[in-house]
Amino acid sequence: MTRNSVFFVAALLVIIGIAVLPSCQLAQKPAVLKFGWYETDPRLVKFINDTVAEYKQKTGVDIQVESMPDVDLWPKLQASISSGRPYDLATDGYIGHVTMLAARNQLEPMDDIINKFGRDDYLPKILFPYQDKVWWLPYDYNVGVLYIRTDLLKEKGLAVPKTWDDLLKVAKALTEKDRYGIVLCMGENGCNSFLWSPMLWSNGVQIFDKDWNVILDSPEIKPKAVEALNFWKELYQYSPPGTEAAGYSEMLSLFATGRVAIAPYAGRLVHYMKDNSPDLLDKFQVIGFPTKDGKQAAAGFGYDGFIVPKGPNSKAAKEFLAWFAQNKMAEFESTLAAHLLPTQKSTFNDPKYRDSADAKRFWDSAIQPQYDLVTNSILSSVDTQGPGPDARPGEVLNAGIIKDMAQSVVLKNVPPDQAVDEAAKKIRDLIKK
Amino acid sequence: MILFAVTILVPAAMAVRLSLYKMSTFIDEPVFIGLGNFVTLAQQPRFWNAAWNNIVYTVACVLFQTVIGIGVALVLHNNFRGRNLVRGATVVPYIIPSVVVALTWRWMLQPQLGIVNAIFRAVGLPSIEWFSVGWAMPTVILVSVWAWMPFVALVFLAALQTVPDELYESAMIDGASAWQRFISITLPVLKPVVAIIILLRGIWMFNKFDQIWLLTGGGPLQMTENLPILAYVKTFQLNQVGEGTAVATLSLVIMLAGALVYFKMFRLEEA
Repeated sequence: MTRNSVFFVAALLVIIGIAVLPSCQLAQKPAVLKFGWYETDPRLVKFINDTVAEYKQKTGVDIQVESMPDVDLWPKLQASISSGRPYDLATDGYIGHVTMLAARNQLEPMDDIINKFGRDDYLPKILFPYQDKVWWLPYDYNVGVLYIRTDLLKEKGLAVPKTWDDLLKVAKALTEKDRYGIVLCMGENGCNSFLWSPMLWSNGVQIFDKDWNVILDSPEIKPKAVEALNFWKELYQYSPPGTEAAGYSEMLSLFATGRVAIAPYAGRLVHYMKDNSPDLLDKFQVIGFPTKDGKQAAAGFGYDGFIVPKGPNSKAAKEFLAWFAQNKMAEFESTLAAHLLPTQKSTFNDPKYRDSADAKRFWDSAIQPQYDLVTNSILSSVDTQGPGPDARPGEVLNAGIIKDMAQSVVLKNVPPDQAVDEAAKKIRDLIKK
Repeated sequence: MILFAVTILVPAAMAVRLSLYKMSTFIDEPVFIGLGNFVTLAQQPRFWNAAWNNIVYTVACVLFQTVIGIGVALVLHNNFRGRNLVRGATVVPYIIPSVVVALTWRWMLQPQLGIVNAIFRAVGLPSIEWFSVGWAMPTVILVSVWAWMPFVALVFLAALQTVPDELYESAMIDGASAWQRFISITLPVLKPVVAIIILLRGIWMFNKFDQIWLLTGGGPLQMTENLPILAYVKTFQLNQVGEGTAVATLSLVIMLAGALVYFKMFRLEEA
């Protein structure tokens, strides 16, 4: 064998080694799944970390949970997809993202997991089927409701408000020296759109028709929107001054400190009161946003779920989710029972959820009322407007157009009909893009 | 040079390049549209509102930081009991992370629960709606001045310490008043420092995002939305990556132009 031949064989072996070794390693060591997780409450972070540790023990599959606020997850998710190494699992609370990714063939469908329970097991509207498939595994509703102090109502001999007039009367009656009747979230944030828009839906306002035409300023819808804006402005006189920058945290604090008697919020406020002002826990009731005539109630439609972006570990990620849905969902939702309102009937009836301490304690005051609103109210939000799941209403939400409409009327005294026209024009311009 | 190119030039060039493309999300294939994004921006009142807010915020912050900074530096330059303690305390706002500054002030100024209005009420003054349409911009300026003035004061204090005491003593013997000593001795010493401070603070304030975003989110009704916030909103919330990077590019151009004019007006090496 010549020296050259020895070099040639050695080089060949090195090349084969380089090519084969990593795949051998891959075969020996399973990949670590990346899980983008935006539930930042420490109890939920602990729960998911314990759960993935348990899953690893059972299956050997390692899942790394990357916890971050929701606003950070979407840009990171996009960047991970463009880089060719997407998150294997992620939480998402915005159906616009889900449809956007599904339309670009970047998501795994979830029908196989959903079908194990049956679509009928899921509560209304939550599956958001798109192109005949379900692209996410929903785990909770965030229902935009009104929290009202029942002790103060009793003190004044007032009933729970069922109509707009009732709500106005109650807000006025409960406004005193050191307390305001109601707090309206008017800040430059998602809280504003989420917690003011139910007033629009309660009056029959719609943004799009069945063909995605903007009908907010149509002869049929505009008067309803104007009415809702006028009512919101009237109600604002019983809201504490300075809520122009208020967000979710201010809503929580103002209600929990007793500075306001009524606050719009979702289930989280229950747990906030439990942590910070337990004396209020027997003095509140969750109700829907009244309609003008009191025949029905409206509620804000928020939601969260899991998605699996397409990638090398999609199969393993879906196996984890199937296991989670089957074995952990009820336990997960019982962690913050009023905040993580289940999306499945079977979870509601699961003793792990139903018999948990928080579920029992808040069933009548917060959980059952939210369930009733999900199943029997005008449940909507800016991002779920229109004939079906789509990115367009999500763009309207993100552009803050509905928020601006309320702010301009309430804070800048713009005439409501002008504000509606401006909003409709902005939506058309946005959709055209 | 390679390090400079890799860490600064290449990312900047990529951002500028993106501004020439129509791109909704980071997942989409960009489509070249030339200056289309800039034309679109020029037609948007929201862009001009953000540009105006940027100018108001930057000018006001730099002005107040400089004037108050000089005042504080002059006070700290004097001998008085507990001077070192006061000097140390003055630096505190500067060393607190921006996020902590913004969130702390946001709660302190919260009209209902905040301590500032509580004090106002206790002494019989009316409460102020710090984040209302009329007050939001002064509020973000106030917090920025509070946070960054100490840096300016420290730099001026360092410059003041280079002035020999003999100069002041001679001037006093010649009968110069405190004002005359400030105009004739102190100010000429501070002039080059002022020029540098205005340039640096101008650039930093023009790019300010975190404090304003955390205090007001750019609201209410875009009253405090500046160009960095608009770039962020367009890129990450409105899925208009092309327009968002165009805002950032224009911001860069405006700042470069401002810096060039500034250099032309004040030759720093001669100042």
